[in-house]
Amino acid sequence: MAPKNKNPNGENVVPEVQQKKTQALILKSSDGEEFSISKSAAGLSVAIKNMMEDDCAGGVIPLPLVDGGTLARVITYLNKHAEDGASDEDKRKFDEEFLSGMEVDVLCDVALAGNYLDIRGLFHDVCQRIVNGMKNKSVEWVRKTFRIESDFTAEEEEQIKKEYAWAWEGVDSDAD
Amino acid sequence: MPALVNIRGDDDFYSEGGSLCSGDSGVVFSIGSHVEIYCPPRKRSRISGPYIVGRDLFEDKRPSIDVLPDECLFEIFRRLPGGRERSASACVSKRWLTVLSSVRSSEFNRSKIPQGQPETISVEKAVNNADEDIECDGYLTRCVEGKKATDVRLAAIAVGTSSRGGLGKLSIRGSNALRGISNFGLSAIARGCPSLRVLSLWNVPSIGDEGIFEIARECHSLEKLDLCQCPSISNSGLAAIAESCPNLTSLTIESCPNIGNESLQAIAKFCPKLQSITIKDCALVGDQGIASLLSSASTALTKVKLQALNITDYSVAVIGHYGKSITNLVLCGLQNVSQKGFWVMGNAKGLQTLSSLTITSCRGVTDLSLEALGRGCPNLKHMCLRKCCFVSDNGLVAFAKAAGSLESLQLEEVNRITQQGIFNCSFQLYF
Repeated sequence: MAPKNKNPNGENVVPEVQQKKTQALILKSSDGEEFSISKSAAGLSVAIKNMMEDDCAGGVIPLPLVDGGTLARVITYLNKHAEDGASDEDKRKFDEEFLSGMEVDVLCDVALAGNYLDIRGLFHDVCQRIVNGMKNKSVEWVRKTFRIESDFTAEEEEQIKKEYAWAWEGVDSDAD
Repeated sequence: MPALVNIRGDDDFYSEGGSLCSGDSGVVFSIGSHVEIYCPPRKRSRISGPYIVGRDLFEDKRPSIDVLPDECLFEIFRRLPGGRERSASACVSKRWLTVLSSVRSSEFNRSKIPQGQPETISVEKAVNNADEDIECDGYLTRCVEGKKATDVRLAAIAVGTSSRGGLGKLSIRGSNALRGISNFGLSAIARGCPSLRVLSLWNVPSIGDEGIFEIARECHSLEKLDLCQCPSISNSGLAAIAESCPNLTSLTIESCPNIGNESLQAIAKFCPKLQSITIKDCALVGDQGIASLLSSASTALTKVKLQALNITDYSVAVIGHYGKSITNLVLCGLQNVSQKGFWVMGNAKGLQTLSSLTITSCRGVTDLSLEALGRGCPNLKHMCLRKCCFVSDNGLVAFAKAAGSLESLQLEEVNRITQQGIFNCSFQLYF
């Protein structure tokens, strides 16, 4: 299936894959979207690189564990980091902006994709960003934000609170 | 330059994602798999895989961050900057606690920055780490007992103490009947508390070699080990401890039916600092183990207590010959040791520094062997004799005469001794 997507302006674009056949790969997301990416950018993912080296790619690499929206983000990241002219400073700025607007759900998706595709830098950044979000927050806040239900029994919760009594002092208020 | 061609319209993406991420998540979740109604009509229909990252998972009502596999959570948690965050995260759910307790304390991020990656909070982290390095010396003591002794509690201790001074001493007394302590809990302790120096396990049948292996792998500064009624721990577990804990100074084994000679030989070989050993009621411990322990570690061993063991004259003779640094010796209920054994123990003249000797319920102690003991222990100050029914007045007086440094003599249930004997004996003690 030929990629026929819209660019951000909503116009149909000529798939670049046809112009640069030799250098490009097509990544296919779980929901069937296809994305073109240069080999050099794709090579930043160890998983894709291995697939290319094993020559099992055949031009289209299916990524059944990554949905289209997440893959689009990942590809944006890869392209930036494979850019010839981009300095480390540029990349750093990009990374910050790239992650700063993401909701928790999206961060988790990107983390999962980063882990699955073995993109170390991306995975590291996302983990770090999640961790930064948890800094100085109460347990309730973390549970609410990450939508986790406690499965401790009342007794266990009591024990654990006793062990960690100090950790409840001086946290940010939950409203933040 | 490579370019992203097939970027999905941003508006498109956010209209869907936004509705899910907004605060009214309850509404979304209650709708469940019909969440598609939030999405504008799309050009392509989505192909649903059985296990797909992203929106499809939320349609399964799964909480957001729990879609991450343990390995991802692990990577997140090891970046947690300090003890407070780690502890708070450990309180969130059992899964988080489990994953957190699987992080070795050496694996927590110590400002390690992968090459070329931005590190936004490295300054704060460096400060935190400086604090922790100072603190992590094993100052804390924890004791878990009875029904409070669960794996969850141990994991909580493992995560909680690592940044609060480090766990130095852990005692486990029994185990919860329903959710008892297992190798999992002990492994969590091992990974989180490399500073552990004293470990005492009483009556925890479900802890076996696996947990002990993990302790051996991580806690190299272990100095005291006390195992009582741990039937699942065998020779291989204790031998692993011996090989990896060269600082072991004190070892107590009581009622552990699967610990025997092999592990004691390993202790003798690898633990030159061992000072104190207590072995009680272990059916597999025999002459071989005791003899190798006494003959090779003899330079440091000062306290030896052997009770209710199947050892014979041979072991007792080895003690008499090699126990040159032993100061305290307790022998109790050694039914297979005869008069000859104790006689040799005295006559071997090795117990030169022995200052306190307690013998209880040993039928090998007779007038003859007791006198030999008195002669063989020139520095013996305190002697306690209990339930030794073959000792008479003559033996006691001869012993008191021979043991020149004797200061106190305690007798309990030594039925053949008469008042006359005690009188003669005290004459020896005072003059």
